[in-house]
Amino acid sequence: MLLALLAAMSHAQEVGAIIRPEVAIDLASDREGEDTVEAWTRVRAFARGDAGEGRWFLEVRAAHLVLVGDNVEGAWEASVGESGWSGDLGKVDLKIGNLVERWGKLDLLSQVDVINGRDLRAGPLTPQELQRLPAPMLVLGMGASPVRAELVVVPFSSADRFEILGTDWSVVRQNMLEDYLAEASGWEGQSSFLLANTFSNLSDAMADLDPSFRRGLNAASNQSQMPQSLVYNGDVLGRLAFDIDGLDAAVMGGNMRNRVRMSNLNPTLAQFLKDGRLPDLDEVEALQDGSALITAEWPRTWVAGGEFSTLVGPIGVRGEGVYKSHQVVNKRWFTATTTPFVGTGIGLDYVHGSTFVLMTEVAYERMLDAPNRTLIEARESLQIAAGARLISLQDRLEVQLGGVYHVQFQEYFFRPTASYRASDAWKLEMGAILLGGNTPAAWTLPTALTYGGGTGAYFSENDAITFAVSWIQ
Amino acid sequence: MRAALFSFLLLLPGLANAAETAEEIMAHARAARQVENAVQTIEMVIISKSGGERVRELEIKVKVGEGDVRYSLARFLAPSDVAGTQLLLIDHPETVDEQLLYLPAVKRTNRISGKSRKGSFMGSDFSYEDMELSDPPDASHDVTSDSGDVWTIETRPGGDSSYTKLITTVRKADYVPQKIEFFDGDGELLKILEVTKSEKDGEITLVTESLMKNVQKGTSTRLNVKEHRLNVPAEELPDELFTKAHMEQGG
Repeated sequence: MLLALLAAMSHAQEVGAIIRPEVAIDLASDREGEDTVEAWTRVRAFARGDAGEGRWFLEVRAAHLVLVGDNVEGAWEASVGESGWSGDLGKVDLKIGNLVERWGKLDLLSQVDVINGRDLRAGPLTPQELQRLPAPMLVLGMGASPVRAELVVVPFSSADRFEILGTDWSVVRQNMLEDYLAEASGWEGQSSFLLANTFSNLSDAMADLDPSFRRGLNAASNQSQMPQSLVYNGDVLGRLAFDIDGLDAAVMGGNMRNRVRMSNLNPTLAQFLKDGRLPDLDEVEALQDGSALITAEWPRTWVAGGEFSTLVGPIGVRGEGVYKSHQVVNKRWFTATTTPFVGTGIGLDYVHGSTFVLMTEVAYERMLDAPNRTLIEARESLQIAAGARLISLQDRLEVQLGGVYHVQFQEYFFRPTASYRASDAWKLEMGAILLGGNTPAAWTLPTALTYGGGTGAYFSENDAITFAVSWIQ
Repeated sequence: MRAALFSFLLLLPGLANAAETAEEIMAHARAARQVENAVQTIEMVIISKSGGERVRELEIKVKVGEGDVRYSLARFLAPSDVAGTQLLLIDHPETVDEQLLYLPAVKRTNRISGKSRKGSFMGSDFSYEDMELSDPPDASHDVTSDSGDVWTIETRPGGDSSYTKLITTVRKADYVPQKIEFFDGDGELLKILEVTKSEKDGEITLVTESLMKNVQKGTSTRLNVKEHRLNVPAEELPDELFTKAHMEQGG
């Protein structure tokens, strides 16, 4: 991959690379097993150039992660970033490759930006430009202004990436599963002579699990039972955009797979977990009747949406809305279903040259057929976001403030940062991650699997200060 | 009518006429900037008060389309963290001009309002307004000095310009502005743009080096034309190139 990049660079018109180590330090010791230091070193190299009637572009990404908690864990990964070709083919234009295709006008509370999966593994530590995961796709377009039509085909459906187990940003936090298995080994029940030792051993095995093995489990679980990646299992979406008298608007729709999995724990097993008891022997036999302990599906959904943006005097006005016929919603005790979903939002921004930006966004979301008890999601939610960026000293000093408040959960997320560009090649940054809400964070597996708050409270123990250095070439 | 991005870098020769009025001189200088199709690579050196330099590189494509609509598309090539940022200026002769800014980090195109054009352009001492070098419809000009081989012309931009006055020194031989002084809202001298180097390319005088100094802050920005191609064939610069869709498709 690197050789291909180097070869391509020899004919490139734009070549660049950015290396950015960032460390997050959690100053409070809230919970046993949490990571007090999380360090990501992200590398991004790219090249672009002309090719025939279009342009080629190539990007490689790499990341090195160090987690310092009970153990010190390190891992490397490399991936292909946005790479492909775009250009004209007669009356149509084509963009093909490993792409990010962004829809919508809202930056902080997006609704209709549905095409690419998200990298959620590091929570707010993932830089904005790396949050969308590139996926193989082609975008066929016709026209430019005032009307443009686009067809997006994603032959291999992708998924959001998040950690299931064992990190500060995973659903099942460090030690939760180990502690729960240890507790289960002491439960009453006819099968205790069969299962108690098994659970106890499993608990020990989980505690001793090599971090790389756990990471492999997490990676595998992101893709588990993903449908066969053939064309008929992919996504097909279309967009019709208008650009008339300063108004940019678009309508879009299509059929796609959900970017999150719908997982369901065997109901019998779930009942034992709820009751806190081991099964009787005949119940063990029932569990062994061939039905899976956990099923996972990736339901398809219809999507329809719209977006607009315009200027009203000096104020930018943006809006978007979406309808999904089958959005996956997680329920308690590791079960899930789908629901029709609507989401809409509006944003206002004021921009002064490239030195000052002030923006606010409000979004309303509603699950139209939601289960009674959802997990870490609200059936109806109103969120308010605001951000400001001030740049001075000829682009050397940049101060950013950004935050989101969830009205129903009464939760907040706040991310202030300041950076100083010491030279063309070096930039220094510091900031903070502040999360909080009314619901206490989950400490045990049962509280995690029945959590009634939202993400702000769930990850509220992850407040941290951050430092980063960027080397830019 | 507005001119193209960094339009003062492109100038055509004219024949000086001592009897010309200030309006005619400025109109002549404006007409001289009407290069139809051009591609330039420009190095922008941003110099701090203490002398520290930062370098940005951008490619600018200029085209005059149907209906005398002028298009300018600037794409940042370096440094890496701003590479891919694009600014599109569409200058409609009869209607409101459009400025669109594409930011690759968020993959979104923003329209830039008239007021925000008064702000700094990407950390430089140029504002978006300076790059257009616009002549608002109600601008007035007076020749304040006619000596030797230059005119000195005072311009009152009026309209919503952030400047109260511009003083331009124009070389009679070729209508090349040698210096432009910009006065702020309080009537104080704010910035000085000086053409430090120019060269002939056929009939066209090309400004290859210029310096904008902010005398109040002590900062400056130097523009160097690294490469240029003038009178580029129209098929190399199709109208579709100067659209929001193309900016967002660029990869």
